[in-house]
Amino acid sequence: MLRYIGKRLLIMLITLWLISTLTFILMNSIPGDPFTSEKKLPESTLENLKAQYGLDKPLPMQYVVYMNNLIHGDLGFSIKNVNRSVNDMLADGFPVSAQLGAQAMILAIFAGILMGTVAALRQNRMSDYSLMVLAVIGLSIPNFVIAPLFQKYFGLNWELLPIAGWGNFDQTILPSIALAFTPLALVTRLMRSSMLEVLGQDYIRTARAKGLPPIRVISFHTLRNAIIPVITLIGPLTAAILTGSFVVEKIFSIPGIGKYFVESIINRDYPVIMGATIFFSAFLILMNFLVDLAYGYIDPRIKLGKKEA
Amino acid sequence: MAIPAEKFERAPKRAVDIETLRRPSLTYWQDVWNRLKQNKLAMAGLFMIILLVAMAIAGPFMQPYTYYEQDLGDGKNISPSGGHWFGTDELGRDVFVRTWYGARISLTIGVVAALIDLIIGVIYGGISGYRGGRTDEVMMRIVDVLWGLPYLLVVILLLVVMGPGVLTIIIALTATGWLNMARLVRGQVLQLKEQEYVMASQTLGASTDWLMSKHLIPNTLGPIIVMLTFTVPNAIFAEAFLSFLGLGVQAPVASWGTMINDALVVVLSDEWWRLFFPAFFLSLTLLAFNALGDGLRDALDPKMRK
Amino acid sequence: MKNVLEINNLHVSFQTYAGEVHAVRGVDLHLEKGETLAIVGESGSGKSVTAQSVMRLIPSPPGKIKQGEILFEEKDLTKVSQRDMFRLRGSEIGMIFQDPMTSLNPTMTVGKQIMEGLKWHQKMNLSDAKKRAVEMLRLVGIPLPEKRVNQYPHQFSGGMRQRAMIAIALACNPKILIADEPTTALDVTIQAQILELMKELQHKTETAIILITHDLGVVAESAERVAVMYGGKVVETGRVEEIFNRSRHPYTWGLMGSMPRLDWQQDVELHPIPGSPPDLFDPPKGCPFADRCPHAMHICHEEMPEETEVSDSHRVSCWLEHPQAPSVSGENNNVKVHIGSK
Repeated sequence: MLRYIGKRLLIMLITLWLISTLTFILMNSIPGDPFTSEKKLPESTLENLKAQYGLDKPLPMQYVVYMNNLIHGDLGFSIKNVNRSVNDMLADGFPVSAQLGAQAMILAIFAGILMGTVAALRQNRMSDYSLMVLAVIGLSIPNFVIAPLFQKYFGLNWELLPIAGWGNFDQTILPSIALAFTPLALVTRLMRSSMLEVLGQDYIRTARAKGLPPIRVISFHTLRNAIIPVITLIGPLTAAILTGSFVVEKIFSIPGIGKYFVESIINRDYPVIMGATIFFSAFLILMNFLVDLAYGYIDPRIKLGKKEA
Repeated sequence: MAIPAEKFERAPKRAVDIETLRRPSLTYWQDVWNRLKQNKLAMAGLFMIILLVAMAIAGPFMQPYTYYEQDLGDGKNISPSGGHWFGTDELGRDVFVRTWYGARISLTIGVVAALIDLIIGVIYGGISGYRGGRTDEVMMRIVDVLWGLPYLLVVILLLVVMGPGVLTIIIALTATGWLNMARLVRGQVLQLKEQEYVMASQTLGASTDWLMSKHLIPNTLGPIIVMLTFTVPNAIFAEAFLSFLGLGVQAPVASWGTMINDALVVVLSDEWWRLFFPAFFLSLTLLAFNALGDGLRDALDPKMRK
Repeated sequence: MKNVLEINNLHVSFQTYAGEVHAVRGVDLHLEKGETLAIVGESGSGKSVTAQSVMRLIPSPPGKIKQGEILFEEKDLTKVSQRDMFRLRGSEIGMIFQDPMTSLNPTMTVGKQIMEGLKWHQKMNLSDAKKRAVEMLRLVGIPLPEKRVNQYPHQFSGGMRQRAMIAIALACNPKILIADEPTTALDVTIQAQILELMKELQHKTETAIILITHDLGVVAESAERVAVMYGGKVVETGRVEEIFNRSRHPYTWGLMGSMPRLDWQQDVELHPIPGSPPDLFDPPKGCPFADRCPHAMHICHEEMPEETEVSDSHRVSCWLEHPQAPSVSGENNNVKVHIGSK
């Protein structure tokens, strides 16, 4: 078990190193430097700027400095918002994005489990078909289509909820739902097929042969086993919600990391792009790791490190 | 109870041929097609895809405008009417022509990206699975490490560097997109190599050609077709997503993503058609491919066979 | 002796996309207190469906009991309410299944799976139920039951899991135990142990057992009476020695001929039954075995034979019993079969 965790941690570090190096190489392969696109600056100012950002040194030297800073958790400074460090921006945005993401995740998982269970228990009946058609539609409508529609109808036309902004709970409702849309469809579909598979298992027949009432067979024997695969989905869901947040935060003007990231792409603010990419990657990799650990903990059949099924 | 004596004579032995099945025997693909035909949603998806492709080809010719032609005078922001079926945008460009021109871009990106994934994936995964042993180990370690990279973030990063455009989008999407296919193909090959019926047929003296054509290809092909069907909408979605981040195709070229992005500014005003048409057809395309993919997956699953 | 279970004229069908499958077509059986009745037949003969009908565990839809009655203590199980059926299952009638590897819930400890029925049927509290679970595990011969009770099924071997299944099925002291191919998935040495265990427990608890199997060795080992099923019907039924030594139905002869035996000389050939079982989408109107029967007569293809009483306990449905029929004898009819120690 400990050996397994150690091995996984090592792979995590390698992946992180790879993404940081890749980011560095890619960013430095862009022709010119971040200041060439600016209005012609006086030569001396340019020199100063370059020195300030360490761009006057040779590339390998820059790489060493960059990696050293990374290890110390220093992601550098924004070019467009002078004097604002990437760390500050991430620290500002993170609580907002985390709240939004967590709300969307909880909504997607709970509603998805519920809907998937209902569909499976009513297999091949009207409610099953409608839920599955809804799910495939949900999977197919991108959140950058859903979000403006929500704004227009719930916000503008019917005035039920605030159109945009961040601060009170009302303002989180529309973006959370918009963000949860695709993940919800994914969870619903997975839960349905997982439920159906478990319902066909021999041990469900055993449970029924014991004379347990259906409610107990479903809750104690079926649901418990059917939910396990949903846990593996949390990794991909986190990725979907994270990338979805770029869109949703921008559309709803929410001051989260996603919005900063999109702005940095539009402004070609390279240090912010680099810093955010590394931060997101680290976050996703860590989430996957935690999900794997949780999976091994929840399913007694899996001996971490030993299983190969 | 009087029964005529001849009834108790030995009846001639009835030829019981075990091989005679009462149901007509169908080939694998006939069977798949029959099952797919019964899935209304999947067939609707297939029909929609054919229709969308036809419109992507013909649509831009159905109106006397081009996708880039501007009319900054009275032609701006016209609502859908006889002259402009889907209206015009803020630069007076015809939304109908742009929508179908956008369909070309989106479908091209989707299909080409899926095909490139397929080619790389089949070669890489095929070699890895077929060779096995040390080769497999090294090749799969590489895949594992690349697998850890967050897909869309890598795509964004690559596009920031390479700059926007149809070609760069395809390159960025396939840069790590083939991993899925490679893993799938390798898994299939590996599994099939050890499957008992393959072994059975080997012990019966089947040739390699026979094995490939009768066992390996039909059985690997199914899951690959399914994944291919799902790769197309994923690539189309990714293109639209990237356009939304300003990394998509550049003006005046239209894609659904850029059109939606442009229209977001006016979403709260009355010019609904600018968002509606590209968004509707984008969603419809994704829906059609997803529905077809679902149907194919179910139809190809032999466990569904009753 | 009193019958604990009586099945009269049971018909069960399954609705499939290709039409209706008549899986069970008029089965009559009875089970006496404390005895073991074996139901033998090849796959598709309707033996498992008959057993599952008793438990009302037929997946429905597509399955449906079309006709007939299943009498348990004067109650017709085909008619009792769902609620009453929940009370009966597990407490009055227990069941164990073929594959012990998949029949236990992988994410629940074995102890909890035994305790569940006790808590639900006998309203036991947690500590009593746990004590009983340990006791049951000890009874079925699992070493260190105090420790095993908290383990998960994957920590058990195949034979141990089947023992655990038996513990679950017998926890509430049922009057009937239905064992659906309980040893088929196990190693031969383990098979013998499980059969031994079932017999031993039967002596202690006086549970009547319905043993479903296609393995005549298992039958000889553990049953008192046998019902041979074919094509959804019982074709012959009788005491073990009657079926093994004086069987009257060509299908039973066929079964005996296709079974390898230790006491045979090496030059004795096995005789598999040629052909395959009848298509139950469209069952034959005559005897279901007629197509494969070496002695088939015209009448066999046209009408289903009546049941003939050979002795008090031995009945057979075959046209050869008719006075007008020519006399034939089965190839193995005179082979004396050693019946397992009783």
